[in-house]
Amino acid sequence: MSGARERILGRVRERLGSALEEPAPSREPRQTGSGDVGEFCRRLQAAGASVDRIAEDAVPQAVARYLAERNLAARVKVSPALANLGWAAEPLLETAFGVAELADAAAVMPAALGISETGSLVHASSGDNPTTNHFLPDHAIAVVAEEAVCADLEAAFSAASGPAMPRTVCLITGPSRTGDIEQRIELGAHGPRSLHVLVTARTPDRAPSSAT
Amino acid sequence: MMDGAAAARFPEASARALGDENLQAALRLLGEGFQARRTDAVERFAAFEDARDAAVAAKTRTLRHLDRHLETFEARCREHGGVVHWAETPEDARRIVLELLTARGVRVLSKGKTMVAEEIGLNGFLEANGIEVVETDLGEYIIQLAEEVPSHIIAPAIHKTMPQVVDLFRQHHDQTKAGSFARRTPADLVAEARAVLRQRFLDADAGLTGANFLVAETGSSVIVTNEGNGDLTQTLPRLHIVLATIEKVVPTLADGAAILRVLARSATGQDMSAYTTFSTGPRRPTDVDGPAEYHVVLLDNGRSRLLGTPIEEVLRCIRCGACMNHCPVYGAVGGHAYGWVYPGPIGAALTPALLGVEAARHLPNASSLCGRCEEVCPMRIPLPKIFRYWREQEHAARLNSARMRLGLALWGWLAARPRLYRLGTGVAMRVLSRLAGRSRRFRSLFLAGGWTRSRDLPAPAGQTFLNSWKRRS
Repeated sequence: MSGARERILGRVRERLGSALEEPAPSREPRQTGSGDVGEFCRRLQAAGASVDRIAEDAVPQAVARYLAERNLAARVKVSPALANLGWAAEPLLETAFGVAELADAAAVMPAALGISETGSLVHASSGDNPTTNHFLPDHAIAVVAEEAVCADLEAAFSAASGPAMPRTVCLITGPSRTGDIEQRIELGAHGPRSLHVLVTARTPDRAPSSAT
Repeated sequence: MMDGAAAARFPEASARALGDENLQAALRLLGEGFQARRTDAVERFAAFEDARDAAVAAKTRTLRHLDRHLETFEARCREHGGVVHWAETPEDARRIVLELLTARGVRVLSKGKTMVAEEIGLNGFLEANGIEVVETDLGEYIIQLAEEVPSHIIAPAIHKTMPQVVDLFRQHHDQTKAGSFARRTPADLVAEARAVLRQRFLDADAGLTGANFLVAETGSSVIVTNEGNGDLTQTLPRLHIVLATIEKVVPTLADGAAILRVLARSATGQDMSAYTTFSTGPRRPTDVDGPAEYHVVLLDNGRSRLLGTPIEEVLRCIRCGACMNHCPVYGAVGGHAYGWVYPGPIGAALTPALLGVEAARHLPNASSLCGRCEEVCPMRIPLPKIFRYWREQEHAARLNSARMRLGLALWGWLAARPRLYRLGTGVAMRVLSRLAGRSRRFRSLFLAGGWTRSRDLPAPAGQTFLNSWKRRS
């Protein structure tokens, strides 16, 4: 198909007729740095997610509490990236680590970043953070650190793309939804029916003394 | 695949659509649905006009050097292990997809929503070649069951009422499980489709998606969705194929951000869609999920020929659907009457370019030039100007009726003689005003049958605008 490539590009150049002109540089990313955590949480809630702000060492308890409040089985598939959060502290919570399967009703996964402009989580795929875990189970529980919340899309993109883009970078803004039947919004189309976000703050005794 | 023949039958199809009660019931929901949600979203976002300007500037800048951005996209995509295929025509694109599938023994293909697949008639072609195609977007799934085509670019089943969907599910879903499906509310139907399709995502050997845009600097394809079906489609099977047209590329992630700020607000009235997903190459050596192979089919199908023409601005379109949601003609006849893939104002502007003005000449005429489409278009595409361009082309090619040509010639002759024109219209207004009597309306009028057949003609006020203006000052 290299013939097609040359013909298409040739037609484009012929029509543009200005291949000599240098492209104007794209607008510089705004990179306004850290975001407003309160705004981030409000926007996530407006998009249909629930939010729990907790200390960074309290994730297992917060997961157990959420499942209990929702009358869900105390069983979660945890992305391996979060294996070291001290899950043993919740002996009644059954945890398994790896890629989610059809039988998994709930999963816990990390978000690399938050975006306060849009109330989005940034999920970046990797060997210990499979994309499947967010989309296949009925209930997604995402963990994001307060200091990972950045201001806007541009700041998030420059942080997430880094030296190389991960295979999948997903901006997640609320649970799955559809309006395909009579334009009525329903949650839980094909992705998670519910999205619960644990926004973690540094535990005081581990934080630098200046952070109060 | 729909061909030009259906677009040529717009007059008959639109007349039928006006009498279709189910369609009319479904279309009545546009006001409180799409329109109201967009209005709210724009009111919530003070910087919307600036965001529109930024998005327009990003896309305009992109198109000026489209060749370079396509080459950069291809190079970056390759660096990440992806494969880029170039297709000039729908036939080329279909063949490329089929060869990818058959070479790997694919029997079931899951699909996310893509209008380009509709444009190239992919489903019918693959099915004729023994491949089962599973539409996974709820709207696409509904119309696949109904054996229909989308009537809207982001809400493909918008023409269906809930009782019609209930009937389709009753006919097509496993009767032995029927008792477990309530089918009383839209939520019941969403849950039923979810349950039925869950296993199908896992069964598929390959997944095919479109792309809302492609990012040259990273070599990524991007889908903007709400249901999550696109993500399952491109994550679970071992092969991911992206089908995109060449004008979808943008240079940088920042340009993508500019488009994202206006896309969901204009489309569904959300600040952000639930999922905006960037896919870059196949799974990495250390990844534990994701497709083993990633292929992008870049289709031209007439886009390159539009660059540098009076209608090249249609290439800025980001397929949000705002123009059709706000179009009084679309709101009256729905999408199927347009007879081709892209309905509503953007279809009326784009279809003549892709199918030829002869086949699609009725579409740019299906507008009162009220301008609402241009008003809401986030990319500021001058749609009414493009309709006028096509009408001129139609006239120049002598495709319109002899009566229309005679009428235009007479009017043109008169309009070029301002004193005679004013005299003539002044007399006509006085006479018509007197003839109208007390009702101030005409139920029928000589030479105006086209209007009065379906509604009354309001009587003129008795004098022309120019006369009233003179008297006022």
